[in-house]
Amino acid sequence: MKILRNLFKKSEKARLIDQLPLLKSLDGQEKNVLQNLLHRREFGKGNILFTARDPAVAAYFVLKGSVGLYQGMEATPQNRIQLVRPGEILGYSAFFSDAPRNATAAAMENTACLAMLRKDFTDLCCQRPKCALKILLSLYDVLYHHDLAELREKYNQLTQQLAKANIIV
Amino acid sequence: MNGLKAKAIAYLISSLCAFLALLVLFLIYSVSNHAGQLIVWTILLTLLSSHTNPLLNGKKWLFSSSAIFLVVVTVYFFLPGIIHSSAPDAWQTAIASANAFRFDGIKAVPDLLFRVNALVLCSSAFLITHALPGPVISLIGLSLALFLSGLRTQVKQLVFASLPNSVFERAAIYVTGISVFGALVREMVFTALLSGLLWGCALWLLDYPLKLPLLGMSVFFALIPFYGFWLAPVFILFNLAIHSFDHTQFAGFFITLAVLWLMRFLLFHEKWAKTRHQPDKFLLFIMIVFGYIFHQAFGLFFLPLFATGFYLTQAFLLLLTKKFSILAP
Repeated sequence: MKILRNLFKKSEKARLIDQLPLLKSLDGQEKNVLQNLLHRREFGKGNILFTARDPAVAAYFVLKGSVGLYQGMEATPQNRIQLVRPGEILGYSAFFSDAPRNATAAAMENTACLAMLRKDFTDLCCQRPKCALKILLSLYDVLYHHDLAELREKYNQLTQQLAKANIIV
Repeated sequence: MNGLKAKAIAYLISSLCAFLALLVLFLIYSVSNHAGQLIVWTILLTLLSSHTNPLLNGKKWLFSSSAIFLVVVTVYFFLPGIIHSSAPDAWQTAIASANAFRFDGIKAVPDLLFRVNALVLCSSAFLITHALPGPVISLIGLSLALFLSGLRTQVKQLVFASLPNSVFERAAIYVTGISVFGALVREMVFTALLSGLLWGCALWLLDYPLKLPLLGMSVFFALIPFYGFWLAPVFILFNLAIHSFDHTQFAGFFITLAVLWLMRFLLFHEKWAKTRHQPDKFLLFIMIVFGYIFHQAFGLFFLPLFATGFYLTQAFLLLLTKKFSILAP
């Protein structure tokens, strides 16, 4: 009964979609279409979302909690390479390629996500290309302005440290 | 063809389809005395006619046309014994005459293939509407209605929601595999049936001696992805050459091939087949509610009528736009 209740409670899912900055550019009708394609998933602390070398079949929009991305197949603290916070997306490589996952994702605390399957996204590209393009542009924005900026900052810090240590000039 | 022109023509053809659906529904109502079947068929046909558009979704249109055709055949050939008592006298007479003609007509046709085709088609239609038990028909009708109504995504969500996290992604892989495979099979079967039907007509018109085995072979070839569609005519042409027929049969063959190619291009063109026509759900809802309130099952007949008006208005508005005029050279 709980499942049925959650399923038909569209307004709640619409509200959750509104919380996601990545889907901010979508209009009301597009959000209505999208809420039928998103699957709400809840993960307890330490639960694995996906493992490295698994086929990439879904991307996850994090609603609450946080998810750690780990290099290799073990979710150990020393392997952690990234922390995904609420409002962010993980596993988006599923949208672009069917190559296997290159990292393992595990919930750092009790976490709620909206999962979107690769198949649903490719269908969306055919049926509502404008909506899919908006998602892709938002994704590009995140990748270029956020992730790349973060990487640049880290690169600069490392360069400065190496320069201080007289390793590079 | 630009987008606007395609859209205008699509609306015009939709209005025609909706009008034809209205006629079919009226015919069913006139001759059926099985209320349950009448309602199932009415809902099914209404959904089909309101969800399909030949230029925007070739495959679904083909399916709905086949369904409507089957119903017409059933009504025409098999229902005269159970004509609804309230049907107008003229209808009863017409159906009874049609039935008499059907039995005499089929007996009179010497062509085996035509008789076999007609009997298979009519038997299938009869089986679907009468020989199957009511609950099975209702189940088929409801499944199709569910498939067409857009509730499918919610059912899929329900299934995924019930899955534990450990199998969620694996299930997605299977579902993707099944839908891709299902789409391929559906396309193959549709193509095979369409080309089989057309080749059957062509061979019958050509009065070719080995019609039945060749028809079977062409359907078999059509099931082969990508190349099958071309293997069937090559095979038939090869047979024609061996049997050294006269030039009129070769000319007939090439004309048939051209028509087949054109129909395939129109019905299975990527542009039409992949763009999904959004159904007029609001219109459907209003018609079902008001139809049942005011005229019970008969009220559903208004849906195609309103759809006709709706599509004609859309087409008219498009034709009025400055960007495009169908009358302009």
